[in-house]
Amino acid sequence: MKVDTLIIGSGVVATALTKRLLEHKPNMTILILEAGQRYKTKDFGIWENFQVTGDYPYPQMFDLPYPERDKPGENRLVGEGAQIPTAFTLNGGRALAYGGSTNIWGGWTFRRKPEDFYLKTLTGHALDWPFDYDTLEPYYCQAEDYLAVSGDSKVQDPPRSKPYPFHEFPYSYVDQPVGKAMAKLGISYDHLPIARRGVSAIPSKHAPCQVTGTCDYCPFGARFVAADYMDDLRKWHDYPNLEIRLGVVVMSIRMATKRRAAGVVCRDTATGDQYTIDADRVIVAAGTFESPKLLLRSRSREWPNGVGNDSDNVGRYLITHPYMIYAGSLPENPDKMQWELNFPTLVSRYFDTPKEQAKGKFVLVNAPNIEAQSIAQMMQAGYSNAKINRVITGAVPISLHGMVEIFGQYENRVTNLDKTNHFGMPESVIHFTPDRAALERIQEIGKVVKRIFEQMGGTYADGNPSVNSWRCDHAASTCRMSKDPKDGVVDGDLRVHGTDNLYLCGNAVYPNLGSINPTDTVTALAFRLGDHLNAAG
Amino acid sequence: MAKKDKRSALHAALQTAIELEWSTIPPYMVTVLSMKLTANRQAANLIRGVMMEEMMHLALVANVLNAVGGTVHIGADNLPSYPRKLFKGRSVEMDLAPFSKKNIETFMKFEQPKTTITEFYAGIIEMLEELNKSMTLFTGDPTYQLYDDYYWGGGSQIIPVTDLDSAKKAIEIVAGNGEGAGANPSFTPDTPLRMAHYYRFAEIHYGRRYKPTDNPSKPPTGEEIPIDYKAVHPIKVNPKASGYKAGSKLAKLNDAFNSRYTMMLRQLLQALTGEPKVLYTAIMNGMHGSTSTALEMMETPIPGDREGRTGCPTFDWLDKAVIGK
Repeated sequence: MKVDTLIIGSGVVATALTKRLLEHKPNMTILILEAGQRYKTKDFGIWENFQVTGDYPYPQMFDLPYPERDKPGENRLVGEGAQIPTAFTLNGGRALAYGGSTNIWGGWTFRRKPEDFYLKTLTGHALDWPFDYDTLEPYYCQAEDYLAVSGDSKVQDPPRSKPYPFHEFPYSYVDQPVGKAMAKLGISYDHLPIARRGVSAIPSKHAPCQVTGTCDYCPFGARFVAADYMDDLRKWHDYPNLEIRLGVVVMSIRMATKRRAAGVVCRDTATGDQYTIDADRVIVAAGTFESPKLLLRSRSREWPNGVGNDSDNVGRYLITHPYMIYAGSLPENPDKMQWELNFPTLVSRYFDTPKEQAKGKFVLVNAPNIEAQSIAQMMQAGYSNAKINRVITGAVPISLHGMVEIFGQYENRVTNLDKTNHFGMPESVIHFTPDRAALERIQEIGKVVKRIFEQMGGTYADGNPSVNSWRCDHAASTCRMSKDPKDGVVDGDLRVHGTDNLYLCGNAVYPNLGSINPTDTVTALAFRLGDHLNAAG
Repeated sequence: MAKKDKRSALHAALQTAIELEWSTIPPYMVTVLSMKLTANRQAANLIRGVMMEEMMHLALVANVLNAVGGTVHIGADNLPSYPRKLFKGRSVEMDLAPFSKKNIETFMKFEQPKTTITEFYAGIIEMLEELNKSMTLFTGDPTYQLYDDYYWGGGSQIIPVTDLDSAKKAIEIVAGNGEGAGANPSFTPDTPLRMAHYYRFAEIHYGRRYKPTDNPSKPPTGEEIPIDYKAVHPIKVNPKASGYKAGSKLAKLNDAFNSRYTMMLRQLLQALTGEPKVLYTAIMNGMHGSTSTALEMMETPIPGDREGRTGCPTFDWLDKAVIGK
């Protein structure tokens, strides 16, 4: 079998890229290989089950947790990070499925800031990006249209040339105390941009958000899920040569010569059959862990250490965001504030600035700030109206969430484990030792949060952050972009250094992550790659 | 006529309009689903667009009825059956039938501008104007109104109705591009989703797009639309549930479809009588969920049928819960 373009992975990168390529050449032969399976979106049965039981409908898309005594589990974590309870947990942090991790994401869609493209120049950490913010800006606009982002177009830091497609969600009532406290302390904040479709005059197959508060499984598809958009490409456009195969694991990339990829060797997980596919070009879009692992597995005489790995950068510099929850409490809640929306509306990027860059930029998100109290449970327990009122106007727990930039280290990496997970894919070994400076930075951020809580009239809990999750949700940087092949894995056009027709797109190519969620940027990169490939012909 | 009677007459006319809009939807849906893709993609999209606007028209008329203090009724007793004369005084009969030249001609006749339906909607506007002068007409609960959040796939928007201006605007949208189009139906080749339905069917009939410079009273001269009347599921026209042998695959599928259709109509009624949010369930669960069953029926041959026809849902009221059995 021979195709024009072979894409490995079916997440947002594959979806946006496929759209761009087929708009340009509707007859192009594109084959997308996805190791996972399809899970139904917008299904009312699943939604109702989620509402009634509170159980997330996703576990079947997840890696198993790391092995423990009496629990075989999957993957291995080595290094000092293994002492941190949540360090680089794959379980829950990524989805192996048609549509990739957009099945499970929260939809926060931030742009990087201009200084994030010059981390090396400005701080000495990591690498500069091979291009600047202005190069990516038009693609951010396209990405935000595609992801259907609701945001505040007046915010011009970073600058934007086009408004968001949908206006921002208003601040919720529970944003008020923290907003007031931040304002008094001179800490600016904005509406959090989020990929939840709004209402517009432009017809769409996708429904607008109805604020059901069940964002983890949107019954209407208002939150962007790549699977729904891949369905659009398959069902609503008559692209004759677009094919998607599920349950297919790519074992290795076959190289015809040192510079040219010939195709792949893959395995059908249902039948166990192994076969080859030829392709004019191969695009690896399999995520931060699977993409480098595939390059490392693709050994040949020309590439003895794996494709693109002559400089030993593949899989290295692995980073993610520590996700911190700082807890506190307010002595009373006279306005009976309850968490309303189940998604955040207020973010402060006040510390996401060049000044903070050397120590690690961070953002603070009000998500959720005031914990909901179950009035239903109190009623069931036979509480009187007066007692319920006393409880909900009384002391209340509060929290602020934060993400901080950490810097890649050569030793932190992902490699293949000679063992197969329940999806039929090779498992991972994650080598991770956190940077001491990052751990100190997390405590420092707590001091900022403490000031905010105190300004609110509340107290800051001992032992903060109460949660310090290093889960892999935002894992990145394992196949860095670099101008010089000795520093990274792909060039500024996302072509694997030393090859002609092998590309890699995903959070893996980020030389650094900044302090914000990566999906807006990765979607912009996918559209930019599409334009590059279309121009190349 | 006493004021009270006049108000009742307005309510009755708006209820008739709801039934009119509703009864167009199954025939359009059956025709769209009967079309094999990719051969008839463009034509299918044109009909689908019209079908979706009929749904929007239903919503707009319901908004007017709710605004003037009426109550929408949807039930077994006013369920449309086919063949059906959609409107008193109109000879055109609508069928549940596959995509064909004849079928498109029927749709054109039905959507023809300047007919008794035009007069009917003009009459509603007159009643609204007259009653608004002599009484407090807009007494409905504003929380019953549907608004633009509930319609996202077509070329127009649902407007909430609160006063005479918004009521007239709603009726004008319904009449302007639908079967009630007056002397100047919307002719907008540059924005196809705003074109009067008649012209969209004419495009299919003639197999060409209109150009902005075309004379609306003559056939279109623009780009060709590929039409293949043979690329169609050969479904049975105006099927009856009794035509599917009890216990057979088609009977089971038909029951499943009807059960879902009935549930959707119940949800629709709930949404139009005070709980607008239920419309989402009706759309996403009932309506979208029924398509795959209808398609499966259309791909399933009727055992022993001499003409080699396939099944088609019957759009009956069925309260029995059969889904999943």
